Amino acid sequence: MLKRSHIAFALWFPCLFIGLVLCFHERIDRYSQKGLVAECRAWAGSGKRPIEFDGCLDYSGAFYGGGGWVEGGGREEYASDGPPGLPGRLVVVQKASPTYAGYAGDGRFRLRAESTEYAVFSLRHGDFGTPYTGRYPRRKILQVSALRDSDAGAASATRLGEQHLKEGGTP
Amino acid sequence: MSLEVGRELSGPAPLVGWIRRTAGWHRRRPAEYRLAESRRFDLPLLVLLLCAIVSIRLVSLGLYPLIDKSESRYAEIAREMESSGDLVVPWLLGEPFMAKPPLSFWLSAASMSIFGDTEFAVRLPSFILLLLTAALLFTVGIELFDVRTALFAVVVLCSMPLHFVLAGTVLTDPALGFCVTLSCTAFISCLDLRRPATHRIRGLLFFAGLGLGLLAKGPVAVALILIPVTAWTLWTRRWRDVWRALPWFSGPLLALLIAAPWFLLMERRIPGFLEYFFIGENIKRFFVPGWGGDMYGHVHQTLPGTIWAFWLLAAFPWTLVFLADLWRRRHRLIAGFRGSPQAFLLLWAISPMVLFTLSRSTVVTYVYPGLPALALLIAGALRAGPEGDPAC
Repeated sequence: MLKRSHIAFALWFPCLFIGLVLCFHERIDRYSQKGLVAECRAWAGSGKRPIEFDGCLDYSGAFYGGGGWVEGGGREEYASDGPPGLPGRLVVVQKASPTYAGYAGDGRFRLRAESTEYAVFSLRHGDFGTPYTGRYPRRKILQVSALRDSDAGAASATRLGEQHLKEGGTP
Repeated sequence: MSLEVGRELSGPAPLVGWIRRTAGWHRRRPAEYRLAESRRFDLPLLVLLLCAIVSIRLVSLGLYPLIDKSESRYAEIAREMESSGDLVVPWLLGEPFMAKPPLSFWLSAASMSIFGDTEFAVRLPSFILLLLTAALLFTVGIELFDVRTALFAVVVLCSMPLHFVLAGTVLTDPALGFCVTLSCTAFISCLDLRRPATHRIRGLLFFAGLGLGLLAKGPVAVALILIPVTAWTLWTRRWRDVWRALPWFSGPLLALLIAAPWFLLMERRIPGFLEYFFIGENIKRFFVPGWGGDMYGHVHQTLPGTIWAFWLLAAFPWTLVFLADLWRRRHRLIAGFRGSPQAFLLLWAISPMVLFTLSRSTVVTYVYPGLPALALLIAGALRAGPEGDPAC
């Protein structure tokens, strides 16, 4: 027999889920960003990857390095705003300085510290095809990762950036 | 209000009357009249429930960002696959990703090539896969019971918290769940010896599920399918039927044709892949506590038996309904199940827990492949009523 209680059993979770998504959207967004930090720290502490992560998150905007796609500058440059039409960038910054940054042109940053214990953080963030919504641009992290070989990461960033330029993209 | 499943459909009702009954206004009417009406109108109510649940999930696919670390990782792999066009090696930010086979990446990449790089697009394949899983459950539910019981089973499945969440999450588990359901439902259909003409196709579907399962999550799919099949065959001693029902030559060949090319191509491109995937990701992860060889994440340390707690939560509160029903029938449980199709459903439902009970590395999604069978068991139990025979 299908009882009224069974209807409640069927509907409680879908209703709770959509209610949470609608009511706590901003918190969910922030939670996803906390997850990013946690993952960076976990990787840094695991010893599995050559990472020294003691960084911070900077929501300030896109970074355009002064010397091309890979050559970058100091941390303060990350405070610049992104170009119009692009959502804000989420940037992981190492405290170790100087850092190199590569804007890959595909919406990802690749950063590395100039040291033997290098790390390249690759971020997919911000403009995951979603326009601004609500009161602030939705910053969504698709992935943060670390490449074992920073040179490969930087080269990859450069290659992608050059390809982006060849295809008529703007820096 | 009380509604029955498992009765013959007696035709649709006027919408207004149905709304009045679901709102509870019929309580003022005589009991006999209410019962007659409820029998007539339970099917629209089930359809409405299903539509509501599915619609909520579909709408919510793009409402929130990629939130889980695994979800974002798999979405990025699919995005890179879509942008690079490399369908053999899954890449994760410049590194080959060897932890999971590519079926779900292929589907998400295909979806993104159609709908763009959005959360909706990358999650849509999971939604479709679990809709197909529900459709398979519906077809086998009709074979075992009737339309209403089958539909009720689908409602139960779709409303289970884990199914609802997975239907919009970028993970490999929806593909695994679909493949296990494909094989297990094909196996149930194969054992219906009244329809030999369709046996070959259904038997091939059983092995197609095995092959696709290998591409969805690897050998664990084979284990999750063969555990209930083997246990049921031993329990019922119907090994001759099983031997006759399944195409034991062309079937395994089909499974190999589906799965082997990708594994071989991957080993050719990334030497050492097969050893890392089969030995590391599948054997050491399972048997070695605190296995440190994980290249892409970390081992989820849990106590042995945690999988049962996950199961309780994954389908809450339906798991309580199921346990209550088992308790009610405890004195004639074995006799009632033995030899029945529901015996296979029971074995299918508990196979993930059997497999992972001793494992110290489990996550809640591991219980999913057994949930479709649990939904059908619950629907069958509610159809039979408190005193009914579980073996229908």
